[in-house]
Amino acid sequence: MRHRLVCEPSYAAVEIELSPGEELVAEAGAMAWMDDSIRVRTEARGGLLKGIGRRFTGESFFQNTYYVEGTAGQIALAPGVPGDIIPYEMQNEVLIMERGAYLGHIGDIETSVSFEGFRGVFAEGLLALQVTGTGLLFFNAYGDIQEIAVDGNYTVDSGYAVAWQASLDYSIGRTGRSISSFLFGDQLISRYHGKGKLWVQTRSPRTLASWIHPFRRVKSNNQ
Amino acid sequence: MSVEVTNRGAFGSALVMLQPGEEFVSEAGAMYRASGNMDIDVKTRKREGGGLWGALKEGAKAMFAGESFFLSTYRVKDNSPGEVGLAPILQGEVSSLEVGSETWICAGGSFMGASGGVKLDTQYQGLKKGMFSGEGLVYVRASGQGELLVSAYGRISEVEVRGGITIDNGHIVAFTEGLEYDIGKAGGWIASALSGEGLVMKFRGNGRILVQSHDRDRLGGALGPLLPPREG
Amino acid sequence: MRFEIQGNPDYGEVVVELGPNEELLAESGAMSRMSSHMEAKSKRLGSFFGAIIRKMFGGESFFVGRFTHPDGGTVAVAPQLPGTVTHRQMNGDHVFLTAGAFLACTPGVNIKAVFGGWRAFFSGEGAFLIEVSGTGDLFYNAYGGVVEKDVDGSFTVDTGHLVAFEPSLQYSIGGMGNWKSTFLSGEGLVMKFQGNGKIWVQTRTLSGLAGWLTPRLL
Repeated sequence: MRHRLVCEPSYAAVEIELSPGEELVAEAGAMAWMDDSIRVRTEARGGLLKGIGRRFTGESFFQNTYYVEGTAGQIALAPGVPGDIIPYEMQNEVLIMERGAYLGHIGDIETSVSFEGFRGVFAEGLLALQVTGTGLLFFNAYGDIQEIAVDGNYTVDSGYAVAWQASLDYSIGRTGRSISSFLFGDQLISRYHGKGKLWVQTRSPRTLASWIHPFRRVKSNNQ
Repeated sequence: MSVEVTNRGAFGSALVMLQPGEEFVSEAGAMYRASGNMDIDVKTRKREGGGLWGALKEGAKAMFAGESFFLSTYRVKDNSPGEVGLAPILQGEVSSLEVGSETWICAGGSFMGASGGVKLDTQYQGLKKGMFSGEGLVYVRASGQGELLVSAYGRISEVEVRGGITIDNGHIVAFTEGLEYDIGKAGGWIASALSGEGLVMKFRGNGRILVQSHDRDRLGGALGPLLPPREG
Repeated sequence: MRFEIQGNPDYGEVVVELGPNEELLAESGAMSRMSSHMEAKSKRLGSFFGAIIRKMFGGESFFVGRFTHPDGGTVAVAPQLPGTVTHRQMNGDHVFLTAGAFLACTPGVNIKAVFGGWRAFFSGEGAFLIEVSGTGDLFYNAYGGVVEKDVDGSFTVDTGHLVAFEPSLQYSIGGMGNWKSTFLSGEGLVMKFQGNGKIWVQTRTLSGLAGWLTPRLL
């Protein structure tokens, strides 16, 4: 298996060459282009997340498994959002990542969906993915990725945390002295302590969601 | 205080390093990382007078138009230096401008942050009103002394006025006070409606203009209809 | 006419210097800045399909902006979505573009809408194709970066990632595999190419961005 990043850093895609016997697991919808010898299987591997608030019930996580038939072949994966891709060698460890950051993996890696949240009135938080095992993991960010070696304390607005090693403790809270929970004015903050790697992105999906809000069509009464 | 601007690929960001006693202000949503000793004070921006932005609903609309209703002020809590990372909402570059000999007028959505000595007028009404003023013409006037951070959707470049330059409103980042300008349509009513061109500003005279390569409204117009409808 | 592409690969835009009475045609809303004396007019482009053509052009208006002046002048145009802008000199040859990829051209270049098939039409993908021919300068854009592929045999492209291809290639539009794969796989429609020729693909798609953002909406 070989891989190559193209169009780095901001519109990165990863081209992966698979040999017979090798399997690439990828987020549904990530395939951008591929050779004729590539085949696909679809499974709901991540499992279903139930009952955590109206927004997340039934949120499922589909992954496709790609393999080749006959000759080796190339498949390209591209994330939905502009930004970096990080190929990360996992060595029998656990990473927690923002749900939309997962792109694909090869090797003995398991993924499961979890809710890492601030169980306050608004049930805000992160829909996260727990990634465990050994192998090569591809994850992406919205924007530039900055790797921070936390040793002590570090604070990040929750929307900007992409992934972190499970060896880090963290708590989710709010910025102090905020007036109300009103979009930009009140930020959900993640405070990390301990020792471990934290990947931070320079753009926030939630802020993008707020920005696009007025451009969306309005529901009509009979919908 | 020092500000480090990084523009890597398509994404810009700024890292502001503060000493005890120093202050920096930003759009409330701009902070994406901060050292543990940073005090973040979020406050509403006062809206004096009526006009377009009097009501809270209008304030929310201003926020969506790119101008946040809230400003955050950063100071260190203890006696050691601290840092705060700032980034814009969309992809794009960040630039640092010097306020002092120049007073800058920033377009809505371009204002990202400023050091303590910069005076910000967030209800700048000095802009000449064309037939379509108000909607989409939100500007912030930065005067005083210090450093101003602006962000763009796309790449920032500086253009020369020469014999006169016409800039589509969606591509303006900032310009210096003193330039003369008119607000209108690129090709007259019908031609502009058909060719899809929106409001433009025609500049004359002396000064500096920063433009951005892309227009946020075109992204919004393309992406919005593809998303599920919203409640009101 | 002289031109310069600035900002590639992330934020490509084209700055064109037109000589007296030279014309530049650009997609709707593409003008970012121009000499103040430059005239912006409009022109209807392409062949006749009525209202359907607006959808076929993936939202791009049937009308394009036309920029010209007896004294000449400068005009800068930018695409709707950020990424790499490419110039292609047309010399009587043909190339297929997806409708969303068209940015600008000079008047000697011909644009013809090609019906991509009913599947593509109903999917809402801006996968509509336009056939470009004639003589002159063509500017097209990608969302994200552009990768050139030399195909010799078969190749599959997720429809949203297609930018352009050479007419020597045959194509068909379909789902990914069996029905379960197509429905659940998350892949939209794919285009399967056969033959010998070049394909240009982009690394981001508008529908991919919409899909990524949807679970995060308020």
